[in-house]
Amino acid sequence: MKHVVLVGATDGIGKALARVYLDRSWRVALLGRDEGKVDAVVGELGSEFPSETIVGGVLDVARDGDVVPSLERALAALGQMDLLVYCAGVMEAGVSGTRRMVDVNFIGAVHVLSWGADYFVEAGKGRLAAIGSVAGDRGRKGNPIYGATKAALHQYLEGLRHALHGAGVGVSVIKPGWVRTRMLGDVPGFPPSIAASKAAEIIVRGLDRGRDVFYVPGWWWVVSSALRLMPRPLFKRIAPP
Amino acid sequence: MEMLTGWGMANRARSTVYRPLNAEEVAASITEAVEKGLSVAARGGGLSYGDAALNQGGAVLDLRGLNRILELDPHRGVVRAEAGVTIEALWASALPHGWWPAVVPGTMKATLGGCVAMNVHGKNHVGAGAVGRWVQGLGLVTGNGEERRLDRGVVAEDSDVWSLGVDDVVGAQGLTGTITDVTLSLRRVHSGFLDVEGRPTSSLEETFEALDRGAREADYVVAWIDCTGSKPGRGVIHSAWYLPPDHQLSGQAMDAEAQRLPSRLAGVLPRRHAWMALRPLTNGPGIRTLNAGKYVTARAGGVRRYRQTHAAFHFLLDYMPGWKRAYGADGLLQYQLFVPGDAARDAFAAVLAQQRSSGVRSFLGVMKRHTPEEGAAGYPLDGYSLALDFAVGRGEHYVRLMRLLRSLDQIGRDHGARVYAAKDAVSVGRLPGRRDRVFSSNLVRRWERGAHRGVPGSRS
Repeated sequence: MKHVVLVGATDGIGKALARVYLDRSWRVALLGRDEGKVDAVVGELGSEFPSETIVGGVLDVARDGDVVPSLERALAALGQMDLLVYCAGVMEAGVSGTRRMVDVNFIGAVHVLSWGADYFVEAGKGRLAAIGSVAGDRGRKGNPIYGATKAALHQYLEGLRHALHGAGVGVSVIKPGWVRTRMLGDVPGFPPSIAASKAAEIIVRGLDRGRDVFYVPGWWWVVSSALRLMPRPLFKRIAPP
Repeated sequence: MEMLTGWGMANRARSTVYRPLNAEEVAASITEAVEKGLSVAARGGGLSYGDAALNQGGAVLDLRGLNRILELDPHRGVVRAEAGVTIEALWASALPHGWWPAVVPGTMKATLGGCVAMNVHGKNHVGAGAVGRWVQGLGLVTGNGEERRLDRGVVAEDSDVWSLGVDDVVGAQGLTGTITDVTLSLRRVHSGFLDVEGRPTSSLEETFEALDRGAREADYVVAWIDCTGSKPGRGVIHSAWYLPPDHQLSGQAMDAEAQRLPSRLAGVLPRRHAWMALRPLTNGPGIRTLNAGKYVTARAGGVRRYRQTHAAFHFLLDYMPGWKRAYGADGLLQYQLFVPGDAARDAFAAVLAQQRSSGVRSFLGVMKRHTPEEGAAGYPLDGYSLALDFAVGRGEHYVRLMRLLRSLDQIGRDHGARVYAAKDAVSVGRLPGRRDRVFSSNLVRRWERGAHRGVPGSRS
C-alpha cells in the first residue's frame, strides 16, 4: 500500500496534497508545528475520508533535535513510507525574517529529507520531494532572501538526486508559481494564480510520473526558462517582481 | 534498525531486529525491547502477505534461529519442535516414519510458530481443522519475559490475572506471547503420493457444489477460478485422496528426495527463472489470456486423474520460486474474504462482478471450504473463502485497485465476512479479545485504528 509523509501540511499546498492523496487511498501522515491545528486538520480530513488512514504529528522543523524523533513517531503510527514531501515554507518581509526563512525553507528541509533519504536507501525505493519555487530560479527584487532560500533548496535537492540515483531513490523538485495560499494571501487580481487544490492535483500527477523537476502549473516552465535565459542587463532593466 | 518486507513486497518497516537462538534468548530479547520502550512483534518465515510480521519503529523477533526438532515419536506420531522449524523441515523428518503434518499451508517455507500464531488451514480445513487442532502443547514467552509451558486441556494458573491456555495462543498473532516450541500431532500416511482429480466447473454455482462435495468425499479440495471470463466463477476443482495401506504405491516416495519439486517446469523451463515468463502477462489482456487459456485447456481435458507427491500437490507457492516478482516492483496483495455458507453465493457473485467492472484484474482466484475453530481470533467460520491476487501497481492502477477493495470490504461487511491476518494488507479484522500490550505489529495497529473508527466486525 502507498504511504505518504507530508511535512508542513496544516495549511496551503501541504493540506491540499493530503486531501488529494486521501482521495487516492494513500495512507497519510500529516505533520505540522501547531498541535491544535494538526488535530483540527486530521479531524477534518478524517471525517471527510472515513475509510482512509490519516495520522497526525507535531513537528517544528526549526528545532533540530526534535525533527528525527517526531518523524519516527509519525512513521511508527503510519507504518511505512513510500513518499516524503517537504511542504513547510515561510515567506517573511525584511531582513529580520532571514533566520526564520533559512531555518524553515532550507535547514529544516535538509534535516527532514536526510532522514527520509536514509529510510529510502534502506528500502531500496521511494521518493523524496520538496516544494521549491519559481522564485528560486533567478534572483528577484521582490524578496531576495526568500528566493535565496529556495535556490539553496533546489541546489541541495539536485545534489541529493545525484547521490541517491544509484540506490533507486527519486528526488523531485516542485516549483509552484502563484498559488492562492496563506503565504500570498487572497490577493484579488493577482496575475494568473491557481487554487491550492488545483496545485495539489498537478503535483500528485508529477510525483506519480516520477518527474525530477516540474512547474505548477506546467506553463511556468516557459516563463521561468525565459527569465533564466534573459541576459543580465536586460533582466535588471525589466526587473520582474 | 533494519528494513524488513512483507511477503507481497508492498509493505515494509524498519525495526530493531533480534535473532534469538533459544527460548532463553527470546525472553532476554523481549525484556530488553520492553526496557527500551519498544513494542514486540514475532516473525517466522516472513510469509504473511501484508504487514503482520512488520513492526515499524519497534522490535521484531526473527525466530528462524529456533530451528531444532526436539523430539519425534515415530510410533505415536507426535513431534516437538522449536517455533522456527519450517513446515518443510517438519515433513522431511516425519515422512520417512510414515507421518505427515495434518495441516499445511500453500508454502512449506512457513514456520511452525507462524502457522500456529495465524492458525493456518490447508486444503482440508473441513476434515482436519486448522493447525491449532493438532497442537498438544506450547512453549511460550510472555510479555514480562516469563517462560511458560501450556498443554491442551490444562489452563496454567498464574500469579496475576493471566491464566493462559493453548487456545489463547492459537491464532492470537503472538499477542499473548511469543511461541518458542510446539508439540504437534501428525497424521499417518502410507504413501508419498496422493490420488488427485482435476475437474472443470462451468459456473460459480457449480464450483460451490463441487467444493461441498469435495469437502465431504475427498481428503483435500481446492478450487481455482477464472475471474476474467464471461462466466466468472467457472474454474477447476482439484481434489486429492490419501492412498490406502494396501495400495501398490504404499511405502513409495516416503523421503524428502522423492518429494523434491522438479527443477524444471514442463521439463524445460528452469524453475528459478520461470517467473520471468509471467512478467509480460500481468497486464489486463495477459491476465485474461492466461486465465481463459488455463480454463479452456482444463475444459478440453475433461476430468483428469493423476498422482502427485504431497509436496507437489500442497506447495503451489513454492513451485515457481520468485513468481511474486512477476507482479512488478510495487508488489502484490491477496484479498481474501471468509463468508458464512448461506451468504457466500451472493457475496462471491457480487465480488466477482465488482472486480470485472472495476478495470482491475485479479491474476489468480482461489476458493476453499471452511469450518469454525476454537482459538483466539477468528477468521475461520462455517463457509467459504475467496482469495484474489492483485498487482498493487502505482498511479491510476493503484487508485482503481483501492476503490475496488473498498467496495469489496463493503460487500464483505454486508455478508458477515471475516479477515485473515496472514493475508491482509488493506482490511480490518478482529483482534483477539485477550492480549498483552507489549506485543504489536503494523497490522495490529492498523486493525486497532479500524476498531477505533468503528469499522463493523473489527471487535472480537
